[in-house]
This record gives sequence, C-alpha cells and structure tokens, in this order.
Amino acid sequence: MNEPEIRLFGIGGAGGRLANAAAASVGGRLPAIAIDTDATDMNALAACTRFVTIGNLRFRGLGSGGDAPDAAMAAEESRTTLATVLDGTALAVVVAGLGEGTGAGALPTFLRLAESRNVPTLAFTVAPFEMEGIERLKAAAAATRTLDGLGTVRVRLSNDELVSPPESASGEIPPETTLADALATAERNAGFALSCIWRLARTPAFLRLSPATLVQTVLAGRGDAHFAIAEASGPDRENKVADILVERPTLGLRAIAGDVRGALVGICAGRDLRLAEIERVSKAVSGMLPTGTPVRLSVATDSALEGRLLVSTLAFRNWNETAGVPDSMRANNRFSGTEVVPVDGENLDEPTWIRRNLKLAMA
Amino acid sequence: MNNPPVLIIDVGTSHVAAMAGRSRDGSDRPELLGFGVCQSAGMRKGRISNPEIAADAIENALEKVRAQIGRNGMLRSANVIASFGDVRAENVSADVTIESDGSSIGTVSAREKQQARDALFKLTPPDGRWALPIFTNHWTIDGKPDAIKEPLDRDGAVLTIHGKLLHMPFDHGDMLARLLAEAGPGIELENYRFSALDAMNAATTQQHREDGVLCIDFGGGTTSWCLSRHDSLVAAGSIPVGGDHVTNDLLMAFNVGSTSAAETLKRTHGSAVLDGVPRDERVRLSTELGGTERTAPAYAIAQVVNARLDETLRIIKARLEAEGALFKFGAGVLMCGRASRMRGLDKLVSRVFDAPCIEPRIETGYSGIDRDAAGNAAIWGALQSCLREQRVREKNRKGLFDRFVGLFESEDSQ
Repeated sequence: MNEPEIRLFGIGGAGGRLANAAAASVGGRLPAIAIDTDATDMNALAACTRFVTIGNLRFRGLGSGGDAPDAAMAAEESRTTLATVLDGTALAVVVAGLGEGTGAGALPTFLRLAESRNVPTLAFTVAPFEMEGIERLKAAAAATRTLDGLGTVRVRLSNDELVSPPESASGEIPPETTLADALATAERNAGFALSCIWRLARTPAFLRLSPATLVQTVLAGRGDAHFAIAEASGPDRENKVADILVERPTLGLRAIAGDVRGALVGICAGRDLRLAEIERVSKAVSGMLPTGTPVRLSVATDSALEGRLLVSTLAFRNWNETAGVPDSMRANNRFSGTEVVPVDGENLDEPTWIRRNLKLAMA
Repeated sequence: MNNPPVLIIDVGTSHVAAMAGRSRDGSDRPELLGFGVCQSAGMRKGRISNPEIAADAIENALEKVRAQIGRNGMLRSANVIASFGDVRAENVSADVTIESDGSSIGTVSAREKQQARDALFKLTPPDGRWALPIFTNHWTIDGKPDAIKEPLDRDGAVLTIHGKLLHMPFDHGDMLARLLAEAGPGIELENYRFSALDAMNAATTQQHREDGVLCIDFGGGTTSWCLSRHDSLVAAGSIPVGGDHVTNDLLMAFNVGSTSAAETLKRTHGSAVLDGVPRDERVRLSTELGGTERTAPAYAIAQVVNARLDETLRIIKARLEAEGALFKFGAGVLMCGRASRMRGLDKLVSRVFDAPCIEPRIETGYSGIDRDAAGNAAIWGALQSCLREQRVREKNRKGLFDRFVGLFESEDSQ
C-alpha cells in the first residue's frame, strides 16, 4: 500500500505553471498535481504528474475566463473530485496565483477541503506584478481576504519579489532584464521554493527532514510565514549566500527577523557541499533571529546542483511546538484517512512517543 | 437429527479466520470440522477500511473451511467475532413480580425466571449503538444486595435479573453485516461475539473466573478486555488501538519506509519493557529509499514500543478503576490476541496491574491450533460457547416436545 505523500498542487493557470516548474526542477520526481478549469492550459505542463479539470459542467474545460467567483462555484461543484486528489496526502504544498480566475476562486475551497480531511497545507500565493495595474492588484487583495484563516501555513509572495535574482544581494533587477528572463527567474525561484520542501524530505541526505518532522514543523508554525531564498556559487559561496539570505530586501530575512518565532532552513547543494558551509549558513540564520528561536535545519544533496549552494528559509510568525497533530496529518502515518476516534480526549493514532514528548535515545 | 455445523468467523485487522465445528456426543470439546485463516488488510482500528479486500479475505477463509467440511454439513449461519474498537458495557436489569397466592410474598418459579430473562434480552442499546449479546450475571430478590446464582424456589415479591449489555457503534455492525452478506451468500449473520470474553472462556478455568481474571485481547487494530469474577462479567470494553499502532509508531520514529519493514522491526527487535535492552546495541534498519545503510539503537526501539503498550494497558486500568473493578482479578491477567506475542509484554502487564500474567492455553486436540493459543483462543472459545448454546436450545426444544407429548398422553389417559 502507498504511504501518504508530500504533494504539490498548482491551482489555476499560474499555480499550474509554478507547480510544473517545481516538478521539472527535480526531474519530475515530485508528485505535482495541476488543478484548473482550463484543460488546454494544462496540456503544456509536462512535468506535472496529474491533471484535474474542475467545473467541467460550467466551463466545459475552457477556463473560467478570469472570473474568480465563477471559478469558486466550479470548485464547490467539484468538491468530490478535489477530495479524491487529497486522499493519501500527508502534506499539501499548494500554489496559486491571486490575479483573477481559477487560482483566486478555487483556492479557498481547496484549503477548506484539505482542512476538513485533516491534511495540513503549506499555501503559497503569488500576487500579480504592480505593473499589471490597480484592478488586478485590487482583485488580488480581495482574493487574499477570502483566504483569512485558511491554510495551515500561508506564504504570501508577489511576482515583483519572485523576479528578484536569488544570487543578488541587493535584490535589484538589472535594467536590461527582458520580460522573458524576469518570468523565467520568477518560475525558477518559485520552483525552487516549492520543490525544496519535497527535496528536503525525500532526498537521502546528511540531515534529512523526515516527512513526519516536516508535517510537525508546518503544524507548529501554523499561521503566516515568510519565505527567503538565496543562491551562490564559486569561491566563498557560503558567505555570499549567507549575506544574500540575511540582507536582501525582498525574499530576505532582515525585514522580518524580529517577528520570527520558528524557522525551517533548507540547504540544497551538490555533493561538493562542505561542513563549514552548513555551519556558516546555520549561524547566519540563527544570528538574525531572536535568541532561542527554534531553527530546524535540513540538508539535501543532489548531483544536479554541483557547484551551487541554495538556501531557502520558511520563517514562521507563530510557533507552537506542542501543536495538536491529527493522525492523518502525519506523513508515514498508516492511519491517514481513517476516522479519528479520540479516547479520553486524545488522538491515539498519533504515536505515544510524540504525544508524551519522549526523548528517544537515538545517539 | 444432526444439528448443522456451527460457523465462527473472526474478522481481524490482519487476519480473517473461519472455524466450523459440531458437538461431540458425551464431550464438551467440539469436533472441529474446518479451520481456515487468511491474511487481510481490509480493516483498520476495528472498522472496514477496504470492503473489497475484507470481503475477499472472508470469502477465502470460508472457502478453506468448505473444502475441509466437504458434504459433512451446510454452512447456514455464522457467529462473528470482530475487532470492534468502541465496545462499551453497561449494567442492565429487569424486574418481574413474583406471583403469590394473595400474600405479598411468593416463591420464584421457572416461568418467572424465564420472564425476567426475556425482559432483560428485550433491552435495547442507546441510539446509534448495535447490541452485542447480553450477559446474565446474577439475581437479586426484593432489591437486597446479595447476589444469587440460582433464585428458583426462593421467596420474595420482586425478582431482578442483572446483566451486562455490551454495545458498539451501529454503523460498525451494519457495515460488517453487509460485507458478510456479500462475502458469504447464503450464510446468515446469527450474532456478533465479543472476542475478549470468548478468549477468556477458552483459555481460563472456572476457578480463574471465580477468583477474578482480566482478559485482554490485544489485536491488530483494537484492544478489548473483559473482567470476570465470581463467574460474572464485571467489566468489558474496547479501544481502537492495537498492534498496528505499535508498528505505526516505529514507522514514524525510525522512518523505515514501509509498514512491512516496521512490522519486521517490531517482531525482531521490539520489547515491551526496557530492562535488559542494551543501551549500546544498534540494529539495522531497512529503508525503501535505498540510501546508505542505517541503524537505530535497540533501546530507542524499545522506548517506542514500551510507551505505546504501557499507555494502552494504563487506559484499560483507568477504565477498570472508573468502574470500581480494579483489583478484582486475583487469578491474574490473561493476554490474548495476535499482537500479544510481544517480548516482555507479560512483565509489563504484571507491573501495570500488579497481578500475575496467565499464559493462554487451549486444548482443541489439534496441535497446530493449540500452539497459537493467544491467536486462536477467541475463535475456539466462540465455537465452544455457540455449541453449548446450541445444546441448550436443543434441550429446551426437546423439553417442550416432551411436555407436548405428555399433554396428549395425559388427555388420552383421561
């Protein structure tokens, strides 16, 4: 029988493209599911493992025409289909664009459904470029309001942030950057952000983040989170990457460091990664955050990343280490999807050693 | 005329077993006609999680039994043991006025005893619950606290029968009934049985049950228990926690990749107690990721297993305490069920309950079945009980027939 998976869900056109970019960045190994009202749009998403068309009766697979309320109704009509794709999911990493259309309309339904099925969600939303105009920004703001209280952890990104090159400490976009380059950078950044979660939990590594720990981290950090990313290569790359991660105004840590209550730091690199580099990055992040902030560090190596050092950080604004963990939220939990029957108020499907905070003699 | 064979189906989380037998003349030990066991993954925590797999397993187990029975008998009905995860027991009673000749005091007759029994058996469980058979425990007369085993010919005004009504969520029973109808067409569901009680009846002596014995049936998905003292059912219950939870805890602690790998880890290195587990010993872990070979401390594995089993036993202890039934099992604790073979579990049980642990033994006359007394006690006990009930029914029927014939004979003689 299959164990519950960490899955990536791309909702709407933009969500699908970003999910596809993330899956492509790890050679299609990441289970990525595109959900859209437009069946033709999804044909281009070669790296996605599954395509789900919603609102077929309403839109006949031709898309919502940028009508978020209509897309929301389509999602409601397709609840059964959406519920099916959530089966066997230990953690849903969700991405959607918040312009107009399916992403903005269907995301709230999807997050509510996941919550009702005890599937924790790490939801990335991407707001449009400022240059796209006030109407689209207003639509994005309205869509953001519909997401209040939804999703286990919410990460708000914007295209303006995502186009910022991860190897630039200033975060400035060179004036000669073409639109195509900027969009490619945005896809690369988002792709890395999304795939990183899966990579850290599913790649054999020195400090592998077990799926259970990842789920526990998401639950502990319930609420809003900030995403930071940095990349460097060449000599002294560990110092470069630490500086970028900390100092960069967009997708960096400096601006929000004081509000951080917990963090998940993922280091991805080739097999040339050195111990000193891990230490440098770890110290840089810890040094930025309030004293005593729990930081979970994970390292994944991949020969495809030879010569590169990428660091991503999820900085949580809330942290509750002892957050209740429903059974089906746990990766690897064979009771996923079964009804929780509390005994004397406790969910006994969750391991006793976790509920009792038992320190296992692992050394 | 020969009675049809009695069929018991034990629908467990990891196995489905079917056993058919009939009474032997002049012996309490049933004649075993067929026995079949199949692995199953269709149940989780006492509920059907995959009807198709569960139905297949039941069908296969029945097929094995049919192949052994041959033409010796048709299988018409089944008593079913299932690992229900939320069985509750409540005290019930029924009153009958003892008939008298004008005065307020009368003498208990067999008819009044039967009336009281009938009234008790008519009691229904709370809404949304499915009744398991009611167990009669003792009698009282005129509300006096003295428990009476045999009230016949006693004097009084009101006869009360006391018993235990066991019940489980209605949908659990209903779903399984539908599944059985599909898996065994032509076989009618006669009754559900309570595994811990049947296991206790099979694996303990009358003396144990008089002195007080707690039987814990530790299955794959559920743990059920019952406590008998003075040969009465004092307490019973179940929780949806079993050996699968131990496996799951190990899977999540050591990330071994698959439940089968965690199951192997549990069987080979699991220990219910920590004493005697070396702190410096490491054991190899298998991983589906195929990465570098990993090891884990044997002590940490024992910590995970010990935490779960200790918690499960203490939940039972707390339930017994709440019912005022703790310390009423002088004979000890009997551990049954396929998940009860964990190393050191007897020691842990003794510590938690401060009582000796009784080794389960059954004598079916078939060494293969007797060897796994812990796993087979419930199904064998159910077969014994059902055949006993069949004999009682037969005897009652015969008694009625004799009385009927006697009636004609007396009319003829007039």
